[in-house]
Amino acid sequence: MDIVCSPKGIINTERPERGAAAMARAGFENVALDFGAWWDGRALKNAGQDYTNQTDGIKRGMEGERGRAAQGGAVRGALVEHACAEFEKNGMRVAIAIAPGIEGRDKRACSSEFLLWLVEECIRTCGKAGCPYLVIPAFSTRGADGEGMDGSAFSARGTGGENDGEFAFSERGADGGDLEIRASCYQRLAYVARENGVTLLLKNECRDLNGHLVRGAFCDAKEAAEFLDLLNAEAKNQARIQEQDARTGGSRGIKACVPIFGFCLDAGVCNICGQNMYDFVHELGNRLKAVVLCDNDGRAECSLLPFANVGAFGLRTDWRGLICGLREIDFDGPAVLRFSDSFCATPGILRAKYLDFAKSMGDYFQWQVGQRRVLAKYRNRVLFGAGNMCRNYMQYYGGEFPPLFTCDNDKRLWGTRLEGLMVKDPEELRGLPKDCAIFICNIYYEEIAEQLRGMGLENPVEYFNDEYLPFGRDWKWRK
Amino acid sequence: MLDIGVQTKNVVYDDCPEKGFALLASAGFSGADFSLNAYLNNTSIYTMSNAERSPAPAGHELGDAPGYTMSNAERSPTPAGHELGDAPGYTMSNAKRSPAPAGHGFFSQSVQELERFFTPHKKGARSAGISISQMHMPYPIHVPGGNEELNAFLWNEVAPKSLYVCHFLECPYIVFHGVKLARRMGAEAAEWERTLAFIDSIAPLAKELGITICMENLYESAGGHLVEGPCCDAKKAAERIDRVNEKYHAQVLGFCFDTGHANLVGIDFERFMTTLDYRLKVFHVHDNDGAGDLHQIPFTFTRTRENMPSTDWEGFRRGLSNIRFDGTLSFETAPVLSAFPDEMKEDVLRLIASIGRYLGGEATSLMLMKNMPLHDSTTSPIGISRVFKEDE
Repeated sequence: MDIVCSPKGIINTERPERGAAAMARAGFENVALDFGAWWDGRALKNAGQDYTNQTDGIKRGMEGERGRAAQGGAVRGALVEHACAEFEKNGMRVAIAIAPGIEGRDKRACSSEFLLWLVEECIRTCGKAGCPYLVIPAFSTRGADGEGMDGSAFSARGTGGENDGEFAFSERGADGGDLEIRASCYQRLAYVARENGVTLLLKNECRDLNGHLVRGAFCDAKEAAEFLDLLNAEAKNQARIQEQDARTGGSRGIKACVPIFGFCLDAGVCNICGQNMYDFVHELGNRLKAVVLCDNDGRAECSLLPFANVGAFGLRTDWRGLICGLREIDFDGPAVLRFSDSFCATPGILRAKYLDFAKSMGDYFQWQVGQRRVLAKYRNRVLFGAGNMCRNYMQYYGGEFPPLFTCDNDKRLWGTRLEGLMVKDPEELRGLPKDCAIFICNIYYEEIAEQLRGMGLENPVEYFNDEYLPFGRDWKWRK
Repeated sequence: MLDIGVQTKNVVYDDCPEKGFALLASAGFSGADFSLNAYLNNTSIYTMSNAERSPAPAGHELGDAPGYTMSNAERSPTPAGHELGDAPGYTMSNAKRSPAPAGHGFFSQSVQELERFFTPHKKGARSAGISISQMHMPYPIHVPGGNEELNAFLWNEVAPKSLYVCHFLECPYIVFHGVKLARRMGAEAAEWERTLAFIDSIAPLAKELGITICMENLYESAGGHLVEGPCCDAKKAAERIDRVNEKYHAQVLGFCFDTGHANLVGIDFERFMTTLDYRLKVFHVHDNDGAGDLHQIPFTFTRTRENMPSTDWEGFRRGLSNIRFDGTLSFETAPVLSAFPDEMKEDVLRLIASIGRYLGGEATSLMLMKNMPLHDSTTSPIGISRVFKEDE
């Protein structure tokens, strides 16, 4: 899993030099190109309004606004390119990009056509920057027939019109009316995405119900997975045609990128909707290509550093579910650390340190999610520590990744067994083959690592941790 | 027009139940959700359980001497989520009523004793013209990590005796809470296995007594943040209900849609109700601010200066219309009666009944406008009801 820093709130969009350097200094190697930093939802609202049914006077005014937005877009495009150059200069890779969305209550006012144009521009920018993923917004359009839902998230439109047979993902609008997320919007983008070698990621979104954020587009993981499969099947057909065009010279060169659609799970949205992130992750499986790690108070959309949402009874966000879920599906995509609100609220003089802390937070997630992967990396392993962490290792991982033995500095334990595992003198480590990893099973990681270095051992040293153990064994069913 | 019901809690008292039922009738209700859970409320169940719970394991203490043997970052479990609806203001304690037996002693009585105890309630409802249209089984039916004796008592004594009381009061539906284990087990499917075991333990008796047990969408507490609990996925719930009913060749399992719990976790009312369709037998209608389980009157909460409702009541009406619901629309708003002065109780009840008529009446009107047949909630399209009668 790659930890990716969202620059929103950290860099000045017009003068990104200082912010980009600060992110690099904190140790971030990957950055998210969050287009929302340049095109925020409120600014897009007017530019994106659907004016087709307006009077001529209003139309002229709105067309003018759109023109100015497009003009402004060109300026912003230059700023984005400048930021990308700064990221590159500081050795940071653009690992994922996030297209601007229209915020909650304004979404209804923005025409899909304008949003599509904007996203196409983002895809092209991603292509230029070599960014493999773009998170895109839900393209909600009002149902043409005005009919209610059909009991399913999907409806096949068979009206005999131009959309005949098209699949749509339905959701409620801000006013309670029906909206449909049409597959055709995505297929149009798929064409551009394929040309630019970009995978498009749908994302779970909230819906604004008179100020109350509730489950919106793609909040049902199973339905989202089914919709993605449909999109990818259609995109595959489209790709064949596109390849044929390319062979006959009818199209520009194609960069292979199948499947073209994936999913980005926003932990902040799951938290607001009180969803079980473990199940969400499992439902998506390998369709899950990216995650957004951000916290909030469970009510309002904001971007806090993970573990910020606490109350008198402890954590109020389901980080364990997310970590265990990602670990179990062996997630290896980008994880965007988004903490603009936390960062902006931090006094200026402390912000550099806050970035260091955020980097540590990212490393922590990477370590926890990748734990199983690290265990599987080695053919042989021994443990260091004969306490509860060792016991937990044996109970949860001992069967799949059996260690040769464990060792401990406490002489009294030498020669005893813990969960069937022999406890030995650390001196016994000297006889290990060089490729045998030593997993420290004790929170005094650094002290023990120092001890091992002092012994002159060249074996790989890894840190095991039992803070987020797999579910299912830490409780006892009593009937 | 749908029948409108409300909880008996805070209205019907043991010392003179007929008076409470008469009040419900005069306020405009024709149904009642009998609060059987008040005779063993969840606060007392958790108290009984916690009294015997072993202390949480200690976490890391960085000040400990490094013998390198101390470890275990395993966290102490999140405190069990007490539902706000059952906070002290919502409990059965009321000077006007004869005191309920302490602890779980009430359900230690024999079925005959329980029937004798509830005979005045039955007569009172009948004389007021109120039908006991649904009731609530005491909950939880299992305390995670609780002592074995208590859990066995809840499962083997309280649940079946609740069914007998339900049958005695001629009530067709009893609502229960599924076990809350997903946050411990990770997957909701694993949690469902335990709930299914509970259903299997009482389904034969429910079939014998002609009762449909209804599972309810619930929430859980994550450090005080109320998040989704059992039965928050309508598709899964529908599939599971069908499977259980096919197994027993009877409508032993149905669904109770709790609007307040759904609002807490941002569920789309209309889609949820429409997915469940005929499996939706009863309701717990109430409102909240989206953060706490407050059990208030619908249309109470707003979040913006425009003062529009922040709960999707329009979606609720559409949902009722979509499923052509023709049962009893019941309110779970007993805490409202604690908040208002006693002198206003009847007025408040009248308001609740009016809201019920608005929600239900509008739904009925919509159906009539669309020329849709009304749906009888006691039957299902797959003919299970008919099979059940044949089995009888």
